[in-house]
Amino acid sequence: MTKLAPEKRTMDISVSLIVDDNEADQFLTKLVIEEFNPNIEVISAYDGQEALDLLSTMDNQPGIIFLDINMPGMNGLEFLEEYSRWEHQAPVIAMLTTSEQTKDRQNSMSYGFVRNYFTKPLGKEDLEIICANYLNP
Amino acid sequence: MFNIFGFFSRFPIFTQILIGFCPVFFALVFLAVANNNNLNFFVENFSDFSQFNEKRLAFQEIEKDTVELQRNILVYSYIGYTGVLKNIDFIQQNLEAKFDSISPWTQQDEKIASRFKRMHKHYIDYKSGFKEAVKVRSLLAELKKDKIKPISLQAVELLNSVISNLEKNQNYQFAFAAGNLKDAFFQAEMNIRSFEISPDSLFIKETYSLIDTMQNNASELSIKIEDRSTNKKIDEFIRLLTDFRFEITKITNINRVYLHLVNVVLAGKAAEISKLSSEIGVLVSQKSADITYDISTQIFQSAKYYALLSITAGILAMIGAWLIAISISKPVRSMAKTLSLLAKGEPDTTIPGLTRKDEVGEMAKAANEFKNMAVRLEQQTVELEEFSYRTSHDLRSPLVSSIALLKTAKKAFAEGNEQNGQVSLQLVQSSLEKLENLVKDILELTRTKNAQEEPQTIDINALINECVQQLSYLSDFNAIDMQYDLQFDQPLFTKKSRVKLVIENLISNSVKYYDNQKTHSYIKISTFYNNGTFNLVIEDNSLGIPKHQQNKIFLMFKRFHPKTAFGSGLGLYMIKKSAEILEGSIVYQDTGGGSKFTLTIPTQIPL
Repeated sequence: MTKLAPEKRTMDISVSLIVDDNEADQFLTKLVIEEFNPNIEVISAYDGQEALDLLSTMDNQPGIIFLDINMPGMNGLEFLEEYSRWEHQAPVIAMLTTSEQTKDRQNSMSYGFVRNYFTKPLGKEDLEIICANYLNP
Repeated sequence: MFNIFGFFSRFPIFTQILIGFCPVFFALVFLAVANNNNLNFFVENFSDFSQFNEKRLAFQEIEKDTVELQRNILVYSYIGYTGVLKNIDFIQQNLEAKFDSISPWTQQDEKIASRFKRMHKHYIDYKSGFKEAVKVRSLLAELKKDKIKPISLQAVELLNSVISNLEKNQNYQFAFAAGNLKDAFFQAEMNIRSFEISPDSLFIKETYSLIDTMQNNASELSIKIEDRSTNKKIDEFIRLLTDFRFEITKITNINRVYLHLVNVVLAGKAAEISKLSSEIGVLVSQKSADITYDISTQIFQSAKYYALLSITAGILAMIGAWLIAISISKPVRSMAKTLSLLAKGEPDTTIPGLTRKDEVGEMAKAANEFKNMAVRLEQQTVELEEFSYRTSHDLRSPLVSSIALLKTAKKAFAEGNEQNGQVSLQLVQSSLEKLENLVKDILELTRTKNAQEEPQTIDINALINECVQQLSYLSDFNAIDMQYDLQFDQPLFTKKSRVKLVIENLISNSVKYYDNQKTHSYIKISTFYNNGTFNLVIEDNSLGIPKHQQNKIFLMFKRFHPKTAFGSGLGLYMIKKSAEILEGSIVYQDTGGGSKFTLTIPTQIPL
């Protein structure tokens, strides 16, 4: 994997967005991130539509988006389709889902800006991989 | 354009084959009729032909008889033998019988008829001529008997007396001269007899000169003899000779008439008859030759005609067989192709020949059912895949979360972080509750999917009431205004548990997703009868379904409200399936400020 080229767009590496309909999963992911780096601000959305609405109001794109696939309303793949039409995307988009289906993995990774595919629950090691690859200052 | 195959496909294959060969049957029947007609024609013509032959022979016989008749008449005219007359009579009868038998059919041909008429007239003339000849002949005989014979007897007596007188007087020289006269008279008599057999004028001339000589000699003798009585007798003899001459002249004249009759008139008529008869014979021969030509021409024509008809029948048979073969083999072939496509898992294949009304059509219908089954199986497989995917996810997801949450809680309590510990445990509980709900719904779905239920008569108002009562425990139920407009008053005979499932799920959805931002929340339940159907409408002013999701509302595991997410996403799917099982439909309408579901099912569902 190559290092991310210097970004022209504005982004806030200290903000991460969790898109998940399950409150329990939101809570768990938030705990893991805060434990890894208490300076990271964690915000959350319950489905793709809410996430898009939220992102469109933000001046700076979050550094990481953790995206679930199976959600009521707009699901993860529909979100990616919509988000891919945007001019800029968040630097790191990691899928975080219970699904271990190859189909889901392939469909997600087919979007170039999707970097990782993790299965729940999120672990400290997963965050280390992200940092090692993309977020190392 | 007239579709011949479409036409064929209306009948069973057996009939198709019969229809296909119909032209051949017609051609064969036509051939048989034509053959029969021709045979009749031949029979008629052959009978004509044989008749003509008979007639030709009849004319030949007439000709022969005429010749025979003439021959007999000639014989008669010379010999005068009455036995010949019998023969002539017999021949005439024969001829007349032939004329009578031939007469009717000679009318058919003008040439023959006119000739026959003439011939018949000649024959009549001939017959009367002959009668005349016989009369003349008897006249001659009479003359000889009445005139010639007495004269002869008298003359011979006179001469004998003269001779005996002269001999008595011993006048031998004169007796010898008288004897010469007697000899001469016998000679004349002989000549007359010869003339009767052969009417040669020489005999008559010789007789005339004999008479002249006798008269001269007798006159000389009379002068020389002095005996008066003898002289008187010689003078008497001379006078008799004059009578004799007169009678001979008469006989000669009559005989001339007779000979004219026989040799000229009768022979001429006979020749005419013979000529006409042979002419008619030629005409009849011509006619029979014409018929022979006609028959052979007709036979040749018929042979050509039959060959043409046979070829036509053959071509028709081939076309018929080809049409049938195509009409049967083509759809069967495409059917085989279609079936193999279906077997390969391409249920979108169009089945050919569905509109046919024959066995191929039945096969096509069976194939179509097979196709529908394949489509259903395909759908079921897709649904099953979706189901297993979703269940594996939705079942695992709360378990995975719960395990992680319990670890977190354990750690939090160990670190003394009471708050995080409590939140984790609370989340474990809600995750497991959700899991339980899901398992319940899955079980319900499996149960309802496989349940075999008999339809029964349903009191729909009581059923609605029962469902509402069961749902009244829901937390927000009392905040909602329940409205009713139950107009349906027909008997409803259907599957009760299905109707109940629809009512329960629709009302509970309306309650669960009620919009607490609105001041007046309501659920309106209406029923009415329309054209053999029972209609149930459940309308509310709840959260409704987002516009872009409305096309997916009846899919499995679809949820639309992430934050109010306590459903399994199977409710509307089960409603849709139930409506299908009830042989009806469920329709969603966006009322702008809520949802409106309409269930339409037949009032009677067959057992």
